[in-house]
Amino acid sequence: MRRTIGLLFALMIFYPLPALAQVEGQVGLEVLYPGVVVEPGDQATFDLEATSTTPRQLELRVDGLPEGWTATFRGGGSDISRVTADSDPTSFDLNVDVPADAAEGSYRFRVVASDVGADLAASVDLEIVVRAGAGGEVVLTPDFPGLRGPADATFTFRVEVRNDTPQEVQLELDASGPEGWRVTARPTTEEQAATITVDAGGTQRVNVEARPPVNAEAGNYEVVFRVRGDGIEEELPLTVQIIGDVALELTTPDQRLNTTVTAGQPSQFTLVVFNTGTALLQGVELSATPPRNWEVTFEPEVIPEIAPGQSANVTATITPASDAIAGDYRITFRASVDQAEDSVEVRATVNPSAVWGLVGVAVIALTLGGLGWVFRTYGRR
Amino acid sequence: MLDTAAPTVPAGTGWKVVARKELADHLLSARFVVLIGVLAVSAAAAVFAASGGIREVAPDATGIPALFLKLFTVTTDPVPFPFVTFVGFLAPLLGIMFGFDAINGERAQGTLPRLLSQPIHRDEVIIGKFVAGLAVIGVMLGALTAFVSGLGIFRLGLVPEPTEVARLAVWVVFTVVYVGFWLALATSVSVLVPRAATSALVTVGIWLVLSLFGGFIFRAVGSFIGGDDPTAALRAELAVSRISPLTLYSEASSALLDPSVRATGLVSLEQIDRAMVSNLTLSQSLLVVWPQIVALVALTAIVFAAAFVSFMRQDVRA
Repeated sequence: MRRTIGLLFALMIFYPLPALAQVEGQVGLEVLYPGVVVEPGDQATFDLEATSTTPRQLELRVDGLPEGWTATFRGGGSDISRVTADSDPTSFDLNVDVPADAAEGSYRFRVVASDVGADLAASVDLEIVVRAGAGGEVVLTPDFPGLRGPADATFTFRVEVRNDTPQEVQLELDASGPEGWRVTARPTTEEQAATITVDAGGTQRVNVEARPPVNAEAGNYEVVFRVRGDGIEEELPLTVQIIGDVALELTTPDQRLNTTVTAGQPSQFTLVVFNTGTALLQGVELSATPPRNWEVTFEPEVIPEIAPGQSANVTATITPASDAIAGDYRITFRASVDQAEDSVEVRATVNPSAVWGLVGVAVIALTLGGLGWVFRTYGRR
Repeated sequence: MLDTAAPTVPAGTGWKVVARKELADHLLSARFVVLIGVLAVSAAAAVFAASGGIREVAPDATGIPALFLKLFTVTTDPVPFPFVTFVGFLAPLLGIMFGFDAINGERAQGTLPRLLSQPIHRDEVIIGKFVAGLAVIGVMLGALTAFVSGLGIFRLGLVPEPTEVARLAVWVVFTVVYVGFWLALATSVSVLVPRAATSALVTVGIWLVLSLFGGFIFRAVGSFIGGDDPTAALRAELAVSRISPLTLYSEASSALLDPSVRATGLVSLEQIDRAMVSNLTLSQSLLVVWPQIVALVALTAIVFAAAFVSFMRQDVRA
């Protein structure tokens, strides 16, 4: 405990000295992060600030840099060798290129800013720790790595591209899928872009769209999303599960949706069931909603199975009510399986049955005959 | 008109002879052919329109009660009136045509004294003429209704039920009574007015006034009696209009041909509160319009009695 307090005292007393690196109280040089960890072959960047009690021009140099390393001062967008210091701090960068063959370890050197004429100088000690694998990487994270849907759907994966490296990277987007699939990857913000730029430590969002061929069979498919650039290559496998699409269409062979029937007499009407989906249809049931007192039966009543793209014929026998009046009636036919159904409305025109037509004519004939009889019997001869 | 008289006529049957001869005159006469042609064409048009209308709503119409009778009571474009309205409007012409010259025609031709010189009583002449007129009217209306029913069966494949046939039959009989009123009116005018043309104009005038302007007249009278209260005015108008045989006939026809009609005239909302829509039997329908039927029969009888009495008192040797 006493030792800790002693240490704190020591820190309080000595703390300003190394951080400000103030020499003779006139010129100052500061750095926020004096030690940087980099990978071999990378570049380390130090943000420096120079101060002075009166405006002065300071010459910059690096002392003690290991052999083969290069250091460049950057300021105002160009390489610099001198800096003007004032009571307001002047910022500039020091870029140090670490050779690819640099051994792991800690390297120390010193940056000196000196006014040669006035014999004033300030310096700061910097450290670069070279460590393999310290640079970080680009990470691809999908919101949902697997999607499921029918063959006619468009599957969109939303992927976050995170740049964990210390530099801004430019990445080329690429995506591929099984044969016949159309797979595209583009940033969410720009439809046409093929490359993205990710700031150091930043993220970008990318949409990976996969469109299966319409006849894709049910099953699992893998789509790969890739980013490439600046020596980085990352892959993200994504999974699409296609479920068999159950769909059917009910219609008539010649697309005619009307028929003529006679009151009380059965007549036949042909329907066609198309399997328009990608899965096998099993047990297609047929039913009808006819007007009251009408009867509709099917042959067959249940179609055992229809392969995708195939069709099956059904014969419906329509028996109108025996007292149906002449006119147009609606009959709704329906074909259904567990997951899908289709219906079609057919207009049935009832013609009066020939018998009653004859009865009507007979009544008229009898009336005229009766009139004739009255004339002959009671008329003037 | 009677060229030969029966040599011997049993007492009390002379009117039959007169009726037989009159009927023979009427049948196939020009006026008969023209009238039945006009009526048949308009009736066929009305029924064609009605059956077309029913065909269009066939799915809804199937199974509704007394559909066959709808042939006679509904209409659709382009025919403006249903069959019943046509008959109500045109059938009086039948009565007028066969009655306007019944007596004064004989008088003008000078055949009346000759007729009465036969062993036929004077009352039997007018009764026979009236019966002959009724008979030819009955034949015509019966034939027309049967013809139209046949058309309906042919067009719709719709078969009338026995109750519907019964209703139609009652309606035809009632229509004969209605036309009989006009026949009696025409006959009595022909007794009173010496010239046939004048009597025809007088009866046709009465018919036109009642059928075309009756509504306005009755409304005026109704609002005069009822004063400011619209309901009272309406009631008064209805009561007054029941003097007219046209009103009586149309009310009675509507109930006879439509089993769902359960009242005539004004019905207040309180009266039909919680009433169920149901169909009346024929006897119930007859009860509903029994007053109208009785009134029309009475009107016909009164008018014929007037003709009868004035004819009996007339001097035939003019």
